[in-house]
Amino acid sequence: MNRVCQHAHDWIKNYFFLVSLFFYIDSIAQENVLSISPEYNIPLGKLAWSYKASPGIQLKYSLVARKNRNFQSGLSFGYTALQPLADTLYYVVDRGGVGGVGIGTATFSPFKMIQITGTMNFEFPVVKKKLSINLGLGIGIIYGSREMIFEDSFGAIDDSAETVGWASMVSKAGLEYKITNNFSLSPYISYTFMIQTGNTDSNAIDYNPGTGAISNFYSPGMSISYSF
Amino acid sequence: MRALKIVVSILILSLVNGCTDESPFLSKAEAYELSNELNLNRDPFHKVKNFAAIINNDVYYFHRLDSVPKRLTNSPSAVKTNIKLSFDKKQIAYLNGAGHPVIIRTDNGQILQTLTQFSFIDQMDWAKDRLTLYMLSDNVVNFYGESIEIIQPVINHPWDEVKSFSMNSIGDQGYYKRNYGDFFKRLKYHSTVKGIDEEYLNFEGDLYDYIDFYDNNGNFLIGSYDAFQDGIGKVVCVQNYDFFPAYEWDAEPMNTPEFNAELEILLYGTMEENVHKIKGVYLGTSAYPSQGYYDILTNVVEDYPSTTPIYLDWVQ
Repeated sequence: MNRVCQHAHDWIKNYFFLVSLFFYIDSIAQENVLSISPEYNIPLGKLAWSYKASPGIQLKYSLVARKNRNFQSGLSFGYTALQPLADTLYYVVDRGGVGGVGIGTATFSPFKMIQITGTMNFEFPVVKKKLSINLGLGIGIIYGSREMIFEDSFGAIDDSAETVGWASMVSKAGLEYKITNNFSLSPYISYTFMIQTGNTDSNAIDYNPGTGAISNFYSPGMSISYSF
Repeated sequence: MRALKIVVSILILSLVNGCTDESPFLSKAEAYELSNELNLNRDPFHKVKNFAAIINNDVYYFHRLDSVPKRLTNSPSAVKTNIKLSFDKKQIAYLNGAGHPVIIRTDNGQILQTLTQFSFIDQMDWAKDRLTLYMLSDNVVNFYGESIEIIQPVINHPWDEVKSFSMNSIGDQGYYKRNYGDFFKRLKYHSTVKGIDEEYLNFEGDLYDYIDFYDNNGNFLIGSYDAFQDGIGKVVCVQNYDFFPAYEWDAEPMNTPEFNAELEILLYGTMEENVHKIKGVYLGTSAYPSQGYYDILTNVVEDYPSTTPIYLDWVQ
């Protein structure tokens, strides 16, 4: 029993901020919402150079504000594994000069991402108690891991595996259709902007040479929500 | 409404942010194609075009150094030497087994003329601006076609020997002559453009006996014949009337060395692995800054070896 209490104490101490936020919101919340959202993550920009659109899933717990029922705040947990475009990608290596152009091959492992996002949603009724427009914003963290291997015809090999943290910002727009008082369906599209965190100082404990790298993707999805 | 504006703005910005540079990744076929194309375009030898060669006693025309040549004759048992391509690339002249010049068409090898009135040709070439063949024979320069005004080699003794003669179309000419009783050959050089009329015993301390004007820009090539190796052992190229070796090459005996100043490439026939082959040497530095004598960029045409000496002429 003491050990259980100790674990609970440690957990609360470590996640004090989130717990405080939860109790604050609960003090002003009137209704709870649980959502599960299968989605399709479409990489953009440089992420799309090597990864293709791949499925993902989000689980979310939201609280409807007591004073303003059109406002929800919540916490979302998501998982995505972006699949590489092909087993092997090819590129041209140019070392300059006569005969200095060669072929390089790139191999990428799936890019696995765990997302934790604090969210805020705003609801704009279109048909009272039936249909509404939902807009959302969120900030959070993403832990991503992948391995990349680059080889070229001149013998250079670069093999790197990374598990790094990203700060993320999410914007979301969709519709909510209430099937019953408790169940609703919400097609949506969200945009995730992520930037690698870390330290550019090579002597720092959190040194990450990729600090500041940016990635982004779109995610059309469908939420199935239960209110209680 | 403010929230709506924020979210819509972010979504619009995301569209802009999603547009980045083109992906560096290609399909395997595209990557190889692009790589080969870039390497080919950088290869100075890929730019060599329009030369004729005698291989195994038959005449071939190469549109490019790395292309399949057109065979213009089919008589390998008939000796052919000293091939020359006209300035307009439409006619080829060579010496047959009897030593007479034979003129053929470049497009199909049809024999146009056999000049039996000329023989014992020491050196011949086409004028650079007309279809006139000039031939050095027995110390005299003769012409087939429209006559050209030149200064004939000066002969003071019946045993004087003119070993080499060449000219361009702007009034420059030169010939190497060994005077009777003199061991060395001297260059008599005349330039109407530069007002030069001089005789030179040597060039930068070395002795030479072959001259070839390879264009109309005051550029010419001199060579020294190596009797032991049966070929020209050293070549020096003079550019723009500047009597200084702009380029030189002496790695091996060369047959009919031809130089192009724009490409900075020397082309000649030589022995490689006990057979005669066409070889190109890049003597410039812009396309390939060599790191020394043994790093010079060369290209050997492996697909067309010859059991007999290769003669060639190049009109880019």
